[in-house]
Amino acid sequence: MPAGISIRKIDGKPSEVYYPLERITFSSPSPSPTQVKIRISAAALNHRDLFIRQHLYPGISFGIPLLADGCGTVIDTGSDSSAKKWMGKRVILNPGTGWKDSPDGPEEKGGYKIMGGTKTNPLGTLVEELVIDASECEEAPPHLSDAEAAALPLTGLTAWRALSKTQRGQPGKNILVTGIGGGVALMALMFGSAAGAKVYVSSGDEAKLQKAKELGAAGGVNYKEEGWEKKLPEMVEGGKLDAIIDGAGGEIIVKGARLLKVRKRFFEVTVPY
Amino acid sequence: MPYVMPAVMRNIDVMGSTMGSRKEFADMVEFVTKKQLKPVVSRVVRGINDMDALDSLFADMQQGKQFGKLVVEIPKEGESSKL
Repeated sequence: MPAGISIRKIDGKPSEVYYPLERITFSSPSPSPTQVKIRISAAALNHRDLFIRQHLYPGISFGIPLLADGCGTVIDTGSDSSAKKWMGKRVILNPGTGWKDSPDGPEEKGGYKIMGGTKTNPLGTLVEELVIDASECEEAPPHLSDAEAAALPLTGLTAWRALSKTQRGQPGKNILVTGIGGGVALMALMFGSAAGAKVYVSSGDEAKLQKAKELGAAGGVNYKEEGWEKKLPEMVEGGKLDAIIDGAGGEIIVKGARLLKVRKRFFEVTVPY
Repeated sequence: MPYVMPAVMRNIDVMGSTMGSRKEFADMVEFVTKKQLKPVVSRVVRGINDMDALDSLFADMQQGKQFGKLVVEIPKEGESSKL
């Protein structure tokens, strides 16, 4: 029987408790006609997984495997051609269900259901084997290792949508991405730069700022320094930003407003709920 | 929610964004493949037998030490995992 990792219930209050990890085994069903069975090779953490262990997340479940990000190889399929075409392929998984293509948000009434550790979705990727609908698979980009491919789905998706919504991922635009080091921020830096924009970053850690510049950041500011918001306009051509992508909230909304061109965009990329 | 009047007075949009659609997922993966982009991996733990090793990844995240993603590689049955 395949093994996986879930959390184990212990007593404690939300934010004080820290649920231990537990190795579990479970029976892996045969795929239905439109499903595939995947031998998972790598799975990645997201902040929600930490919040789940701290009971700072809604709908947590003990016994459902953790994690939403996964890469693996299809080892069995259902009879439908939509499933059979995946046999033997290396895939990465759509990290949640319930949202097909609406620009506004999930179409399904229950909302978006992310894999890993909660009642809303029976699947999680920190497992040896997983059975899932074939439509949730994408071919793993061939140039990526298993670990790099597993690192892509949730943060890549979140950064992609956030950047698209700014409509500022284009040459000549200046974007600030705060908290570089986090997965979503790094993907936003990568996507923004690849789209031709100049992406500036912030961090409280000088080493992270340096690494970000090596990855193509146009400049960086240390938000622990008093007056960082005065240093940034000096780095930016034209002195003003076109968009800010921020995952933490707080004072960035006030300070950021003064850094942005009038009538430009500002974003809050939230913890997925 | 902090005071947003400075944004309001400048006609700045403050928008929320979380996750994305199945279509956006496909578009994103296509872009990554086309542009040969590589997600940054901060640290990898190999195997799901050592809870302490797995816990250390969560600790990195809790302490904000990571630069990039924290990943677990899951070896095939029969392959040895480093303990």
